[in-house]
Parts: sequence; C-alpha cells; structure tokens
Amino acid sequence: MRLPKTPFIAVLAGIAMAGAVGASAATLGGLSSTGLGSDNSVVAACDTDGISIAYTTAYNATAQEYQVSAVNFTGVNAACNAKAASVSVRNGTTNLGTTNAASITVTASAFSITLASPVSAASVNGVSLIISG
Amino acid sequence: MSPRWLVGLVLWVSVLAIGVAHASVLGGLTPKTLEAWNQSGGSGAPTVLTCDNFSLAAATGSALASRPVQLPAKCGSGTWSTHLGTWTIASGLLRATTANATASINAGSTNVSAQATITNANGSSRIAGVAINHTGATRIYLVGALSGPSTAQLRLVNGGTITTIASATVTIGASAVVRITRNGSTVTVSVNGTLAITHTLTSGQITTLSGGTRVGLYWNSGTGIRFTNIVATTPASP
Repeated sequence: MRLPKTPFIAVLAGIAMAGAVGASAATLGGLSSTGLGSDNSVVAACDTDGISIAYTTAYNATAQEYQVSAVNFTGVNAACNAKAASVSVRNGTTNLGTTNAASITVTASAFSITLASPVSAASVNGVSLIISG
Repeated sequence: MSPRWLVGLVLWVSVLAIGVAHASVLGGLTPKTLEAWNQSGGSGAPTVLTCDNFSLAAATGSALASRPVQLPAKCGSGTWSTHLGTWTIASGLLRATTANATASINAGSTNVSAQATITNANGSSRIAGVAINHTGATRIYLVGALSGPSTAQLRLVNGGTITTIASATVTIGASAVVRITRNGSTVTVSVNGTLAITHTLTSGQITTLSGGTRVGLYWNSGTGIRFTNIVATTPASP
C-alpha cells in the first residue's frame, strides 16, 4: 500500500509517541495506564479574626488536684462548623495530651473539645489547635 | 493544506490529546481549610493552698491532731491542729465529737476558698461545715455550714459566741460539697457548686476576723456526719 508521504510521516510520529507511552508502562510490568497532573487549590482559613480559648477545670479529690477536662473555644466563625479539629494542651514544649475531633459543631460561635484524658491544671501553660477539612 | 495532510495532523493531535487527558482529570481540586492557633497561658484553675483526702492512715493511730497532710507534693507541708473536740480518721473519713469542734490547717491567706465533702448531713439536728479565716487557739472563724435537712448557713464564731449571719434553703443529699469563699469583704457559700449565700462583711466583722489564715472543718451536731476531701485554694467561684 502506498501512502502519501507527508500524512504518513505525521501518522508515524503520532504512533511513535503512543508507543513511547506504552513502552514506559511496559517496563513496570503491566501497570494500568495512569496519569500525572497537578493543579492549584485554595487552602483558606475558616476563621480569620482569632479564637478565644478557655478551660473547663474541676477538682479531682482522688488525685488531689485541679484538672483540665475540656478546652472551650469562642469567637469561632460558622465556616469552621463540621471541620475536623485537633487540640493539644502543653507545658512549654511538652505535649500533655492531644485529642482529635472528627467533626466539630460550632454553636453560637463556640465549640468545646472534651479531652481524652484530663490533665493536671497546674501543668497547663499553653494550648494548640488545628482545624482542617 | 491537502485533505490527506489534514487527516494525518488530526490523528497526531488525537494521540497527544489522549496523553493530556490524564492530567485534565485532576482539574478542579476542592478548596480546603487548614488553620492553627497557639496560645500561652495557664488553665485559670485556682491554686491549691492545702488539701487532704484522708485516704492514708494517720501517722500515729487515728488521731488527726499533729498529722501532716498526706500528699505534700500537691497539698503543701501543713500539719493539722484540733481546737475543740476529738477528731479521728477511719476509712478515709473524718469524724468529730463535742459541739462546735474545729480542726484546722494553715492556708496562709485570709482571701481563700475552702471546700469539703460532708456526708449524712441531710437530716434534722445535723450541722457541720467548712471554716476559713480561722485564728487557731482563739477559735475565731467563718463557717459555711450545712444545717440539715435543707439549710445552708454562714456563721461567725468568736470563741464561744456563734452568730448565724445568713442562711438559705438548699438541697442536701447524703453527700454534699460545701464551699466557703472570702475575697476581700465578700463572702459566699455554695453547695454542690450552686451559690447559696452572698454576704458583705461589716468593718466590725473584718476586724474580728483579722489575722485568721487557717482553714478547716467544723462540726456541731449529728453523730453520723463525716468529712473528706478538703481543699483550700485561691478564691474561686461560686
């Protein structure tokens, strides 16, 4: 069969590129075809004007100390509702305990996270909060 | 451009398009939230000045007198003094005899909160409470008391003279936590975390109470009454 020259070259070029793709996959032993791409996405804050933090404390007579049982957040934007959150109570750089919440409920601009394990109130001098999702 | 050349070009572009299509499926990522805060500062819990839960046996026998608090690392190095009556420990509970008996420990402050758990005060003719501003041997102090079956009282005791300054109706169960707080001239009494009494001390009462920095327990009547879990802190509400 005689094919016109110039179109034939163009077709060959296309087949050659397709073949190159196929050859690359073949060297990995039959991986299914896949793609690689990238895109940009916005990572935005759900609250931009700050959040106030307070603690729920109670006296534990057995331990004979005040303990922090929950961390309470106020001034929270409703956009943070239903997001995941993680709170860590700290003593300096020492993490006294981290509690994760799969979904927070922001009601009247506030939410609370009950700590998985209460910690000595006297030891707490800081807290870190992450909201994501 | 000839039609054949055009067909070839289309085929070539089609092959390229197949490859590009893989990248296009990633288009349109969903925006996400990621936000972190760090805040320094204490928990706001009151500072414990002294405490005792009577869970350990007394050093000598069961007497409370001269007994150190049992957890110095958290409760300080105070030692109990008894000022009237006989105070004994049994199974983590404290009991007293003799009307208006008090036992105290130094908290080092006139502005203070003190609370304790009192059991079996929920009946008639049963009176017991928590004392602050106790002067020791001269037995001048304020008491936040339960007066069964359903009254909270603020008493000022000056030696043998007992004055009920204020009272309120409360619910007293088989076990109740009584707290009395003085902060300046303001005195409050709460039962199980609920504010029952607020009183402003007169200048005369302040003068009478001057110098009393001990906290303790007060028993007036009711043989079944027991005490445990006393803790004194910086003033805390209610």
